[in-house]
Amino acid sequence: MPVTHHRHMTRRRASVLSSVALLASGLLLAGCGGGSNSGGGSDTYTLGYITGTQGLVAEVGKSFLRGAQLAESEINKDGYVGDGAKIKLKTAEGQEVPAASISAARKLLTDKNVLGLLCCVASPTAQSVTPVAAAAKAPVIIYGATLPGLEDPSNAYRSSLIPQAGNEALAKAFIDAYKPSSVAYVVAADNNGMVSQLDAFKKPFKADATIKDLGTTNTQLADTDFNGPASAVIAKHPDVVVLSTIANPEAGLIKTLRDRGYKGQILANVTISPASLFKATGKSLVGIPFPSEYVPASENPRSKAFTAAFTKKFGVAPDLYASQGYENVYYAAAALKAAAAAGSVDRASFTKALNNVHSMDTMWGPVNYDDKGQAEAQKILFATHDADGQLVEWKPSP
Amino acid sequence: MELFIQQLANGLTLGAIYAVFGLGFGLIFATLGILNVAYGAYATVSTLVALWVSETWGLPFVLALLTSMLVGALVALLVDQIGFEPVRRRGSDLLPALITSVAFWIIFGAVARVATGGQSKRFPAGSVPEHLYDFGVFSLTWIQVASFVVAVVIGVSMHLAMTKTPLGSAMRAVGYNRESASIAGVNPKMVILVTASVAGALAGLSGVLAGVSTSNVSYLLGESLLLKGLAAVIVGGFGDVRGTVIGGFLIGACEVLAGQYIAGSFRDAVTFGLLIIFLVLRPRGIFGPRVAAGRP
Repeated sequence: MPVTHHRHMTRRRASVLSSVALLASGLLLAGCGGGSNSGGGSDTYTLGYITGTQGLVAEVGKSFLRGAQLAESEINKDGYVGDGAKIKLKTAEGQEVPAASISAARKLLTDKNVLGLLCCVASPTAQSVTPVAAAAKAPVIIYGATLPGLEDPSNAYRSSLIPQAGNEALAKAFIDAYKPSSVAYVVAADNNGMVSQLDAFKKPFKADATIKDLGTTNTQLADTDFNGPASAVIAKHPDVVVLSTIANPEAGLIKTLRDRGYKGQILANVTISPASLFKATGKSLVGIPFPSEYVPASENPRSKAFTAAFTKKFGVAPDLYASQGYENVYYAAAALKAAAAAGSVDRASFTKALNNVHSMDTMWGPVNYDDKGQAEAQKILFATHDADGQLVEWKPSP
Repeated sequence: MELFIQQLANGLTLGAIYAVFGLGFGLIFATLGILNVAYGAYATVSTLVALWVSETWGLPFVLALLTSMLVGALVALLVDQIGFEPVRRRGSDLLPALITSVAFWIIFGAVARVATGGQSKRFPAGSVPEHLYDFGVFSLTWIQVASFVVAVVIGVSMHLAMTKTPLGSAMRAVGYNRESASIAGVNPKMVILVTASVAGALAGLSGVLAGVSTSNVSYLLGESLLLKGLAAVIVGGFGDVRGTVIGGFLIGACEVLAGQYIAGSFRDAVTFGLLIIFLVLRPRGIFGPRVAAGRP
């Protein structure tokens, strides 16, 4: 009996202690949650960041994240969102796989302190995440996906410039300078963003009746062996090959084309810009132009400061994606600052504030935002890798 | 016609890698009686080690290749002795060994993912010859030629070894019935160790060939090889070296020609459609025995 009684007492004591501990934890958490986004001077505004640092676009995803992390540290150091207030990027890996990214979004949004999401390199992933955020009444700032219309849902914004305009401008500049007589295309046909980017490349070629269209070779994002597609393209003897796939597959395709002896011109999209991709792929990427609103050698003061700070922090030169990651966080911070100035900060007020950001002075120059939240560039640059792997401005030289 | 020949050549050289992989995979199944789904992970792990030594110490390609084969052999031996030997000792058959191999597949996959950070890598630029050989109506890169030659040489060597040497006879005997082989004077333990290490070395070899050929070494490298290698073994006939090599070539050719003449998105569908046709119409494959080899 005494033993049983002792057990009862022990259980009861444990039960009481557990309850007290739970209550205390709850109060503590409630205290943290209530105070963090209330607009006071010592607030921390949490943004969910779905990373894509693994998988097919890992190189690109890593660049975005580093740019975002640099912006986070600068914003907090400079008190950009208010005196003493800070922002916090809470990350979850989505691997640029829709299912994994949806899980990451749900995990982040379960935390009521998360005011909104920054998400996604690939368009299908962004399409999958946006409804999840909408259900949680949270805004999504799409930092990398390129499919037009992704910013259409009322909770979606895109402060990165989508590359379609750049692709079209690059193709036009190339045609004007080199007067090619034929063109062949390669596209990752299972990615609608890449198909859309190819359509933009095609416009100037189609508009010139003297250029023969030798057709499009379809690949898949998961392809790794490009001897077949490269042989098919080379057999057409095009003056220029236009590629619209993503990062590793695009670099692999370029390498295979060059290894198989293709000496003609290649136009690529911006996904070949990461320095790590150049390091892995080597000289095949030298001189291949792609549109890029950022190059490290830019004379824009904000751009120069970003390049110096990024290089110091990470030991490598930034690329376009890093600049986009950086500017996206500043875009979110501008809205948070406005929401804080107007009173309390929550998902609704953050969304409202995003709707009121109409322009920003970025390292790419002044950027305007249309009424759907899509950034529009005023100037487009072209870039390429030099022999040392540095990103330099590309200018057509006939 | 030139394009057809070129793509056929591309397909055969791609299939050569599947063939080398399939030879090791088939050897484990035929001799050890294990459907080893971790075999693809052997290729991944050993290729990643080869890549690491190549990047760290700047080893020439041939040494990196040998490193991969050595690591593959060691990994296969360790997995066999740690994972499969206890199953074997209990007299269990296919299913427990399959489950064990699934466990190793998951473990190695996680290790490879962590080691690579989930990112694709490549052998350092310039570490592998990049010469293009012109054969008139078609051309092949150095690694394509190397893959084809390696597949043919290893295929012929293994076929001769399996059919003309005492070791090959011992391996076939152990594959058919371990106890009977033991009564006949074969040392099954030694045969098992040799089989595991040879198969592991082939995994390492095929992994490096695939990694260089596609300029892509990722934690998923072995998984794509596994499906294609399995298809090569089934099409060729389990346990027959000639069939596996021909099956590999056939799978590779179908894959590339389907991409060229049907659609890129149908490449795998056509490949595995071929597999289903064989399973339905000729389940023993091209050279497989009429009656599946029994196991004790």
